[in-house]
Amino acid sequence: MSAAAWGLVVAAVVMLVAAVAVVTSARLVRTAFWLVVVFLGQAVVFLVLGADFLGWVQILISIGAVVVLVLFGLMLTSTSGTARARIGVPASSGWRRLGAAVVAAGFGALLLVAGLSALPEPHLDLEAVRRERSGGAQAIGQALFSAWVWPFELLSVLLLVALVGALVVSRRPGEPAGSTEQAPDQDGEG
Amino acid sequence: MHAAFPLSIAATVAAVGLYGALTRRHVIMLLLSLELILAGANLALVTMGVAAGHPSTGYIFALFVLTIAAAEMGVGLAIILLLFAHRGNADLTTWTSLRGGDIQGRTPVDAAGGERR
Amino acid sequence: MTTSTVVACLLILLPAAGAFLAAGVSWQTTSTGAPEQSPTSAQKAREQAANRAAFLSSVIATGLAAACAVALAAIHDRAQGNADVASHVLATIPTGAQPIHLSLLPDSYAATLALLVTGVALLVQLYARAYLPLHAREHGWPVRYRSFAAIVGLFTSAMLLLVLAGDVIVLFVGWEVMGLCSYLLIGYDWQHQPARAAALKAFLVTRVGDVALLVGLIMLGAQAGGFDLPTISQTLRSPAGHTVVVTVAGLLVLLGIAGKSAQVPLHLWLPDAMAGPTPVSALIHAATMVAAGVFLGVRLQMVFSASGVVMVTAAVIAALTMLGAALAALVQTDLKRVLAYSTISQLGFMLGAVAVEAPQAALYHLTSHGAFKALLFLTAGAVILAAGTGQVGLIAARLRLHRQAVGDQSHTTAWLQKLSTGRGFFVVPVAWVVGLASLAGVPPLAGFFSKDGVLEAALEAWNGRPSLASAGAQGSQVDSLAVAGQVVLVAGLATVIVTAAYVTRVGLLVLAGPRPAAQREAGEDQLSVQEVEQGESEHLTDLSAATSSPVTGQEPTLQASTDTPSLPIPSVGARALGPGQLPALMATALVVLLVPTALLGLAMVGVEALHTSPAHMAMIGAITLALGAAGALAVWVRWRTTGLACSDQSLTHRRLTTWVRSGFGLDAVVEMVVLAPARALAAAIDRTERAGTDRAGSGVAALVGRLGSWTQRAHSGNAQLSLSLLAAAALALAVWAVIP
Repeated sequence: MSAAAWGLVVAAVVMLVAAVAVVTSARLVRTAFWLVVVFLGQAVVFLVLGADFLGWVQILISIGAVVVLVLFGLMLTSTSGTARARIGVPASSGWRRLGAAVVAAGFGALLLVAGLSALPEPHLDLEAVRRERSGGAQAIGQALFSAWVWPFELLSVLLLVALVGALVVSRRPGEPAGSTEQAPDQDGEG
Repeated sequence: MHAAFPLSIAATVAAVGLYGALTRRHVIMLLLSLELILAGANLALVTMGVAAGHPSTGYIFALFVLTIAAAEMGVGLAIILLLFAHRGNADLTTWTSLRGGDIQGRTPVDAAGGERR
Repeated sequence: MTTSTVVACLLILLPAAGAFLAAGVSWQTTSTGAPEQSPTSAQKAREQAANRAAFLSSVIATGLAAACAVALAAIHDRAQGNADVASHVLATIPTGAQPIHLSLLPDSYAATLALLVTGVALLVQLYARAYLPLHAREHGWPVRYRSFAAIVGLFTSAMLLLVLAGDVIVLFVGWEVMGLCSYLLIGYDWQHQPARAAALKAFLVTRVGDVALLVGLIMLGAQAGGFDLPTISQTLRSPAGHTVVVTVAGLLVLLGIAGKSAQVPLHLWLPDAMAGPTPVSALIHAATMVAAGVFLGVRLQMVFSASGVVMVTAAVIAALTMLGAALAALVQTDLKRVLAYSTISQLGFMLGAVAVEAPQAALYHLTSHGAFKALLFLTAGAVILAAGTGQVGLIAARLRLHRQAVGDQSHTTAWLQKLSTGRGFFVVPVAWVVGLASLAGVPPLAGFFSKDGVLEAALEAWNGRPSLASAGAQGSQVDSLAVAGQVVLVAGLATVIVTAAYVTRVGLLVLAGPRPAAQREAGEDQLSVQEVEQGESEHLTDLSAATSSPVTGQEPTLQASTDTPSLPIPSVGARALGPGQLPALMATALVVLLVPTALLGLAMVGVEALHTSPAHMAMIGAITLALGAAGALAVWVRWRTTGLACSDQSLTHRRLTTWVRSGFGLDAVVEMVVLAPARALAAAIDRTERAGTDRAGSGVAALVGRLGSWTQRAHSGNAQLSLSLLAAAALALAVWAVIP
């Protein structure tokens, strides 16, 4: 077994433990940190699979931006006002969790089967990836700005829309241009 | 290396995320679970790209997904904050306006199914 | 279209037209008056006018039909025989297989029967016009004359259709319409529970036979390649037609005949059918409808000839019926039931004739029996009205009482006067004696010759007369004919004894009473109503309320005019019909029926088809006379010495007699074998329906309700739950798409 494989195993184990912790932990802030661990493991897997650039971007965006955002959200929605508070919301019933576990396991198996059956040659040629440096910033950049330039531009528009949308939505009711208390409620749910 | 190994990691992470999305009652936990699903998807994309002989395609799709996930997190958190400000709690099961009828004043007791119409 | 076909069509249509006229009149008047209010004089007048119109229309229609029947018979008399008669097809109904021909077969058999049917129907219409108001007053029931006339007209039409039909399906139509009319007329007194029950019983029991008959006819038609009678006979005449199918079909047809003609397995309905008014009994349940089964046997004679099994079965059924019914008639206590069992017995004779391949003999006996049995029934109707009871043990004493009540002073002159004006009750004893004598087979009367014709045919069959079936008939066919001949002959001779015995018994009981005059005067010289009833009524079960009321000295004076007997309402308890008064219409019917009863035998004595061997004829005549005389003598001697027992207490073999009287307990068997299981099944089905089906229905409803409230919970508005279900469904879909 190669070093890459060992790295993958370690990363996989860490990731799974962290993921399970994310969906089961009863403390708010800990879940966010467990998510960081998951993202780190994901970055390691990316690196092993030759996606160097992607791995670092993963660490940068997911951990640096997403998790920080989540922490802010947690603090804003925490009823007790402290970061160490328990989640404050009861867990789902046992039957519900059992059903969800079955469905989730089914979906995982489906994903695996579908992915494997879609591949004509299931062997990963990691040496070729390394040799051609196709995971490096140069290759990614070239691909991004040649073949994928239109999706890339579309994505930038999406980000802009999301930014503006988040701003509009998160404005507190009763503030300027917010007409009534019920208005966003009706928009969001009606 | 066989593709089944990283693919199974991806599938497991996505499954755990799905489990969380179906069971966590706190809205932010729901968002985190969605992040897990997206992480699994990303892993799968990269693995499939490498296995198919077009690694950069997989990388770029993963990059797109990463971006979309960040945007989704931003908008989602904004909506959640608004709802929380309106509802006063973060329990998904009390947010039952999808049921129809009146949208105001639904208490958790109503949502627990004790009431029949 | 030949003349005879036209006449036949007229024959069928005329009584139906009369019936429709009578029914139309009925409808018009009943819709105007309110039945609950006491009728005003105008309403009464309208009622009488409607009755008169119905009477005239039905009598004229039936009379014209009778004239047509005479014409048809005359045509045949000139044409000499049946050879040139072909069935005339009026229309053809395509069925996809064998077509149904609306065809008529007006041959000499049909002409004979048509004459009998129209004649008896006409006389019954006349008789009933006078009888029904008296009958209604007797019991306090309303008169329903117009519907009676209409139904009798419909019945006549149906019977003529049956008689003249050239196609078995057309014949079956007439057969079924007659069954309906029989049901309606037995239930004429719908206020009377036994009448309703009897009507239902008759309908159901005959239905059993009818279903078998229809199946049998269809099998025959399928076998022969056509439903018309000549085709069927032609097919069965050839040896190729003798198959198992024909045997089965023949047995089914035999069952149908047994149902209509009250033969042994299905005879139960006829004695009960006597709950209908007496004219109905005379027309339908003695002279015509019950004989229709035998007529069908005559029409399908080849079915019996083609299969030895059917032939012997028919002979056995006929033998059982004639002897058993005669024995049952011997011990009946009700006058009409005596006559009913006698009818069953005589029908057995006719079926026996069919079984020994003597259709002419069967038809001859049918005709003569129709005449004398109608006479007997009509006479019995007058007797029962006059006596106020149908119990044989009481009739004579009652009549004597009423005669005394009328007054002795002008007794002789009154009788003479009544007789001279045609209104005398004197005609009743004469008709009674002549009818009974004909039934018993006293020589110059019709019954003697016709009955002997049957027995002669049986004797010849025994002696090896060649079968009607194809010339190269198998030996077994001849053998079965001989067996049938033996069975019919032996049973017939035994029946002759019993017939003479019960005829003597019922004749003596009605005319003289259970004891001879000497004993009566010695024992109870001054008979009063109370003594009669104390002596007899305690064991007689069916004494109607009307009979138990004391008789006053006043008798109603009947002013019987020719067409409307408008009767004054009698005082309470008075007899509807005094012994000295007989409405002219009833007397006319009796007198007219006396003629064929007396003379028909002489008219037929020279017909060669009936008598093949003079030696046999003489031998059979001598034997039957001797046997009959023996039977009659035995009863007479018993009457002279000990008197005839009519009460259960005085019977020596009470259980045996009760058993025989109830028709050999077959009703109980049917009750046990058919009715009780049917009721149990019905109860079980009812229980199953209540406990099973109903509860299953409500259970499904409850299940759906529970399921609904359960799935309602899923519709909680919980986004997570919806998401879970969505995921599960998507997974299921994906798996379903991937796995194969």
